[in-house]
Amino acid sequence: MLFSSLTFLYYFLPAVLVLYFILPAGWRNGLLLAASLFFYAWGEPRFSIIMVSTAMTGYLAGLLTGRLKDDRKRRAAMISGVALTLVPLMLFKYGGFITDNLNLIFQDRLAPLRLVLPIGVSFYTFQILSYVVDVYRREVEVEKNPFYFLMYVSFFPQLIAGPIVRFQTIQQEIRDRRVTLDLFASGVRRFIVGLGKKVLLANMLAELGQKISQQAERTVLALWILALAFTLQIYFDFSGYSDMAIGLGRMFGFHFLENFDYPYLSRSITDFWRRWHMSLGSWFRDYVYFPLGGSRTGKWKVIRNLLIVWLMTGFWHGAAWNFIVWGLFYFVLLLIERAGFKKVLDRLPAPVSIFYTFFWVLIGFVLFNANSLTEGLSNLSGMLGLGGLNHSDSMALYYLKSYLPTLLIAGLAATPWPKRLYMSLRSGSEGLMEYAGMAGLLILLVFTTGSLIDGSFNPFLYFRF
Amino acid sequence: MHKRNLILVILFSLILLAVPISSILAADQAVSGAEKRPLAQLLTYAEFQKANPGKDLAVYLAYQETYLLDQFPGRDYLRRLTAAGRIWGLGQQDNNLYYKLEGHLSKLDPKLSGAVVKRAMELFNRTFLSYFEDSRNPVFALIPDKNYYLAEKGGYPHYDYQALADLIADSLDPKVSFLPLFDRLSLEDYYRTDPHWDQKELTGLASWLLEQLGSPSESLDYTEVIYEPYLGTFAGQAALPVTPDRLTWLNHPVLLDSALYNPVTGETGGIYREDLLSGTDPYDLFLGGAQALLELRNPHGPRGRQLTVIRDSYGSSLIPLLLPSYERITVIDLRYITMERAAGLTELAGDSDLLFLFSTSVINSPGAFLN
Repeated sequence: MLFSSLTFLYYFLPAVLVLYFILPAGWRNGLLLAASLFFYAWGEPRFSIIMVSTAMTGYLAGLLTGRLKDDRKRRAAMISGVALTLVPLMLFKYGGFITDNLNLIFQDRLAPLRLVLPIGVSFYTFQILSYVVDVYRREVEVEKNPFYFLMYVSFFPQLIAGPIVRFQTIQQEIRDRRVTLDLFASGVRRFIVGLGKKVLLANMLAELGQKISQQAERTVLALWILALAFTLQIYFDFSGYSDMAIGLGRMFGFHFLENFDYPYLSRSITDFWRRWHMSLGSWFRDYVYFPLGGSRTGKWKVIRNLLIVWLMTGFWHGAAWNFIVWGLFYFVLLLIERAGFKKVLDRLPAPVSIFYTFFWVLIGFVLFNANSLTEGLSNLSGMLGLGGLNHSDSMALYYLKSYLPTLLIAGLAATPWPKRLYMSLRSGSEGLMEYAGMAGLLILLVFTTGSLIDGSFNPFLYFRF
Repeated sequence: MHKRNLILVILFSLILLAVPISSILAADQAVSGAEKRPLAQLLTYAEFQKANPGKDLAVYLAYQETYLLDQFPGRDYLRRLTAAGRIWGLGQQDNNLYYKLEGHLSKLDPKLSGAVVKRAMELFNRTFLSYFEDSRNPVFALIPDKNYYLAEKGGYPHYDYQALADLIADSLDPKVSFLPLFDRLSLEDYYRTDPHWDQKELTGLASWLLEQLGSPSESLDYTEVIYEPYLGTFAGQAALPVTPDRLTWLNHPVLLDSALYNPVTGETGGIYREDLLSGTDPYDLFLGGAQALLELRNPHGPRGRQLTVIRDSYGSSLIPLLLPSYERITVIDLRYITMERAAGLTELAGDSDLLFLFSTSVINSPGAFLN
């Protein structure tokens, strides 16, 4: 089930909320667990078994690791738990890629593996892995109640598209939490804003991309519009989802950590990755980069560590060469910044360094958005005017004109300025602006609903991860 | 702050609860009057499986999503609100490819596909050579869609209509006369809310076409019958505010005495199906709407004079105006029937007059025809 679906918004969510607040406190976790399993099963019922069994693998691995005293045995239990937890991800997500590439070497001797990816497998696998490792490191208490652990993994606000919530973030709140009116209201606000970002901006930008792809000729202008639209779309899609997850969490008394911090205002690539998909960045930092030695080691080892992290980051996003090259692309950019270019960027005027960062992020997303590495490279060369493409055609110009206000609104909405403007107006006349803000939110909800009814284009980009 | 949060939570809860409650209380609608289509109905899993053998639970759940979308309370109002938001709020030039200019709704059709047009022409040539080579006056008339009159004026992308006409002229069998109707029609000859032309504006064109077919035409005193308000298919799909049309049909004792026979279903009825005015698309009044094969019989027509019309939906409203000049008109829509099957169901007169009557939008539409 999608958050941005009428089924979720007007049937599932009200039903769960009503039941949640009329049931005695002791029943609420049970309700959330049942609701989460129903939520997951709605899209692909058979994948629920994989999700639940992976969660139980992590639970048992945590239990075993926590019980053992001997460090070697604890380590063995943790490694076994990590390996077993990774099995579904490796099989369903990477099995096809691995067999395809082995077949290139062994001349098609292996049967190609074509499996449908279970929704959200990359997210919940990483959550479970973080728990098992944290238990080993004694950074989190072992969860003895399997239902609580399953609830952590399957909790519907963050189950299928993150953010990657660590067990320690919500362990206490699973057992004991309180939903105040103010917390619930802040959750409502955050949820509606996220829904608006997703439905009114990301979907509209996706529509622009789709129209350009289907109707315009392949021209330099069309490729640049596609690149810009996708760069904005993926931000509003994913950050909108994160906002909805955070908002829903608050409605049920949970506090999830932030996942985005206006990444398109970053002044360097280093800065960008501190502000984009923060829960994934910090996961790779804490569970891959630091264990490899991080930056506190020799120069070549640091380079090796970075290379591993960025290869894995690329591969996490998709089992295809264009994602791996996308990861390597960031490895190179970050290496250049580490070599001293970051200091140069820091001294440049903010608009220049922000433009520099946005430019490379946009270039990266051309590779990311392609169906293959060849297509990605071909699109990049087309954007540079290579390959004999025309500069523009009437369709690309028409859609640029038609969607220019949407692009401008999206560009503005990717900055903190609208929020700052609202806050400064509110400080002048708090009551009035609060009511205006409230009316704005409810209008946003109505328009979002209308758009969901009107539009059929409603994919979540991050589901494929 | 606390009070304002309370108000927000109450309003949010009310909106969230109002929808499911009103959904339960309101009866499901069978058809969308605005979108001219049947709406998804509530089905149990067993009913769904019976109607869709082999489809699993995941497909059923996806169907439920469609059902909720279709039966959402205030659906049409919300679609109109969203369309207004897109056009006037976001400054978009069209809403889901539909635009409004000079009071008319039209749909963008910017790409000319030479391959599609050529395939269609091959089909028509094959039909002509296989079944109607002895026709006395074979004619191919091309009807421009509304974009021809609107798109350039409004700065909307469009293809080169002359290139389409040239392509047809080059591909068409030389024995068939090609009659592009670009200059014989104007925007006012079309409904504002529908892609089709308005029958009451077509009497002159019908006389001219009869001349081209070598058939004598007499000036008839038609009676206008009006149905209003008429909102055509574009109105519902565009969801943009527009003044409704009048659906006018031209009646005459000759037409009242004529009969329409459907060889596919074996049903016989009148030329105008007034019972369909209350259905999904009132334009179905003309010859019963989308029909694969029809025979129109005029007991007052010149004995033995026959016409075969290979047509799309535009033909439905024009053909009644041609009927007084013929004893029988056979109407074939190759989008729904193959010539082989049509020939098996009706007696085709190879020496009849022959009119291919197609709109630019159908000729340029991929996969429009069955063979």
